[in-house]
Amino acid sequence: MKKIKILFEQAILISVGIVICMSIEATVYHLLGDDIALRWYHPLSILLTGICCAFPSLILFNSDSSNSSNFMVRIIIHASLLYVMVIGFGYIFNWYKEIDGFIFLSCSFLLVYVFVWVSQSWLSKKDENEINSALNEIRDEE
Amino acid sequence: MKVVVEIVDSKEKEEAVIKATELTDSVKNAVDLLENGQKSIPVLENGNTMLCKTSSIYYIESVDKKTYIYTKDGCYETKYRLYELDEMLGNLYCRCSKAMIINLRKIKNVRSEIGGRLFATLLNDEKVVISRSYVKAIKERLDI
Repeated sequence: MKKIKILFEQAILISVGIVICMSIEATVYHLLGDDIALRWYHPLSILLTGICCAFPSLILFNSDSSNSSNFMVRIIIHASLLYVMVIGFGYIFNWYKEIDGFIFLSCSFLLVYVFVWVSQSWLSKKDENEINSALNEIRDEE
Repeated sequence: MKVVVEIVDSKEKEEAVIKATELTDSVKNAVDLLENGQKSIPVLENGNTMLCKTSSIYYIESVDKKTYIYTKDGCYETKYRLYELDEMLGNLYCRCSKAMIINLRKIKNVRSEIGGRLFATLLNDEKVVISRSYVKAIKERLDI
């Protein structure tokens, strides 16, 4: 049940990330005098990409390994896998047609990926401070 | 809650009575603090059964369907499964990963790492990982 919850959360997070990227892209194109037509399969493709991209997160970050180098390797594999999947799905579902669309999607992916990790680290730092303060009250003397 | 402290003349007469409408986490924490780990659980050392005070436990780990209890400088096997110990031990013992229970009173500090994981440094300077999915449970136990 916990795995399904993580999968669901990840799928929503990735889908929202894609919607943000596509919104920025559509706004930029509109401001440049060009419009992007939304096709019937675009919302479905976003959901499908979100669900598919959630699986690598579930597999790679559901372990309790304390090895830092191992963790960095997993981040690199995770980022690469997600990038390939997003670009692949983008190609299949016509999110981009020209090279400029491809570059825009790649840059947006990088920005969203970094943003998600930074936000998560910031939230962890907050947890760290709160837990350390609470532990000061109950810690045993050795 | 109204608190009454009465000074008695001997250790034997020391006792605490808590009157509460329900057994909340705060009441459980108070009970744990008052009991101060006086409970003991049977453990195995070189085939002999001995008692281990719960207050001396640093963490408990399940490896290959066997459960090991770690104290400051010892490691003992116990017949109890992790989920049984989770229920037996007080509120200040909490799951920090799928296969580990940690004694929150033995944590020196926690440090966050990229990806939302936390590393706990114990009082004996040993480091254990707190999985992202168990951070919420630990915060609840600490009334955060």
